[in-house]
Amino acid sequence: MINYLLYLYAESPVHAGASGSDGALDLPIQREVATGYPVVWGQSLKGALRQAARDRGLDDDSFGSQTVNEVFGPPPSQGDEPGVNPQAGLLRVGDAQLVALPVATMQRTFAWATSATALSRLARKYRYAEADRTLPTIPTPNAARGYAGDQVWVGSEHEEQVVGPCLVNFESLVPSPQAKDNNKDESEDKSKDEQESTSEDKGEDRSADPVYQWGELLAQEALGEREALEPFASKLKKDLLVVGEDVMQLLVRQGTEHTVRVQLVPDTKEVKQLFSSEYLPAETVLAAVLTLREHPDRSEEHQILVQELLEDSVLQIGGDETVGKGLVWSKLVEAHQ
Amino acid sequence: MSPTGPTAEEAREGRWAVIEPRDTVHVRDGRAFDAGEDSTAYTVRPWPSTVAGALAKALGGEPSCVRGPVLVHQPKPDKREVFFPVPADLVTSSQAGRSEVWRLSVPDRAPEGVVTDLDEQAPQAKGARVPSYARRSEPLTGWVPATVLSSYLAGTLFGSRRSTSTADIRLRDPVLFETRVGLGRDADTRTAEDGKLYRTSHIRLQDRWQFAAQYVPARDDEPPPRGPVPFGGRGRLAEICLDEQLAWPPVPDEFPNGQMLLYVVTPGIWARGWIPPLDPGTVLVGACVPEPVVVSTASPNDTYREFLASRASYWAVPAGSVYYLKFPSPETALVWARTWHNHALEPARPRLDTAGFGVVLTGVWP
Repeated sequence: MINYLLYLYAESPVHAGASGSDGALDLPIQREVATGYPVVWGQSLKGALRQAARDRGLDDDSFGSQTVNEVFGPPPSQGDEPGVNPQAGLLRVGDAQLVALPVATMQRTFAWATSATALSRLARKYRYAEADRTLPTIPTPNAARGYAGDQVWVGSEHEEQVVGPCLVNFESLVPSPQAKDNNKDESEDKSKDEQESTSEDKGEDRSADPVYQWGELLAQEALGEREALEPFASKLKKDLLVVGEDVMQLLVRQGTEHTVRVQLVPDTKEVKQLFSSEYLPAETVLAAVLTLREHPDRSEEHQILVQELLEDSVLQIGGDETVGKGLVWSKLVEAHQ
Repeated sequence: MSPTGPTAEEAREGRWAVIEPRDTVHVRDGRAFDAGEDSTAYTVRPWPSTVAGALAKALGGEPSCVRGPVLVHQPKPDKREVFFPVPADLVTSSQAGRSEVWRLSVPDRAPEGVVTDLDEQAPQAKGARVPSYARRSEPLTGWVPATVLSSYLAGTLFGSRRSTSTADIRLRDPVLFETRVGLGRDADTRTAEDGKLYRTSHIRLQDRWQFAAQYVPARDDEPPPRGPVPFGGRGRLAEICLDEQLAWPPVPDEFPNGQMLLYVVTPGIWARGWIPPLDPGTVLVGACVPEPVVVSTASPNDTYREFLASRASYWAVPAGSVYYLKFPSPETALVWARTWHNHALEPARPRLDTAGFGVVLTGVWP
């Protein structure tokens, strides 16, 4: 078996629709029942991958329908007999779980919020994928607090940052010398320039900070060295915030986008009905584990297909594609087992 | 956890395998399902056969037998604790916010005015009775740790108290059901196809919870199981590892008056239906058996005909059921308990016992 860790980075808001309405929300996104974290079900993701293979003509020209069907399984209508799928697909697609959620902040416009739960699951995915990485320690802040890698987010005991609908006090797991000096006299006002300058600007080495290390890892592996994403990769290193579970629970519920849409009567242009949709915001980071079973003769071709399909490409996931939703950048982390 | 597996002596006693689903688990309950007709598929907790199939895949061949599944909680990387279904004779208050737990009792004689034909097979069996001080009660559902079940089986869970509480018995319910919808999609029009919307439910264990089962290897030098392996339907995978620290609750040292409590760990499929196979002379005094469950099994096959030939459905006694037995003597009870404690009783069909159905534990009843 070959395992892949698949990162998805949302270019536009993503609507992977759930099974029913959620209170006043007509079209909620998929969420895990245990944690309430947003998720993209494996079945939805697999369908999107199959459609992507078709859209790129991989079942016509380069690989042929046999190879695509071997990887994804034959279309449902091709079974000769009811109740039996004559061949299961070789690719097993797991749920894409939340890694980091962009949230509005009062400085630097936005930051990415993650949690010990989300990072623990990502670490587990690395273990499943047997990707040879030494992962950073997983920070575990108190329920209503957080850890930041860059000193610009770190304040004194009662200095809080606006993070979406929350006010959160951030600490640094590896306090900088500057921060230590500031803490000696908390009443001393920091100049505006000093507040806005990053640890990088000050020449501080943050490489020992686990939060910074996670940001760096995600920047490298989820976004990669892609020119279009470089500013965001650079920002992710500095603006990843690990928040406590109480804060994360609010963010995953209130940090998604709710859009009210209108259906008009075509002739009169009168409002026929209003409905509300929920979206995972652009810049969200998700991760899933894919497992490709080996074929006695054609494993290499299957691997090339998966790599060509997913390595450094833009996919369409979820609904509302005709109004620009659901574009995600994909990135593969591969490991052999 | 042991990377190399237990010793040969331990292997004969069985090894504990921990099964950690990567995502959700989808195990169909056997009801027919076709998108567009009956468009809802229901999922259940993994059957013993589901676990046995996964283990066979992980081991590269079938083990001698499988006993499970149960749940395990892993609060720390190096600590796991086995959890069992709540015994069916524990009840709780039906009033909101109340957390008291009471135990049903076996009456001396059957209640008057109750007519039943259940006693045709077990003429001396009586239904368990709710204590008079616990009028508004309902069945308690969930999972309790091995230490609590051990105390229950030893008859010391309540001590001299009339009741205990859900906190005291560390009641947990980490098995959550997640409803999912799916649709057939026309690849050309990029729209949903008519009549191909369906709904399924998946099981999602809370974080740090896993399934576990004991298995007896087919040979002493069998290597440890290796994952990932398919677990349930929908192409779902699970990791498998060994944990030699897990253990069953112990067999009681004695059975006063020959009274034995039989606790069902995994669904039982027995020749006499709800009545477990017992030795002649053993009297079934009473029982708490919740609604039966329908167990459906099938093997993956290449053709529809083979698929039809391999599938079967059974009525099964649910896990957590409790039987009150009376043996001719304390000695015969002890011998029977040492034979069958944490083993599967004789099944209605061959191989259902080695697949893990009908595993029981023994205890005492007051």
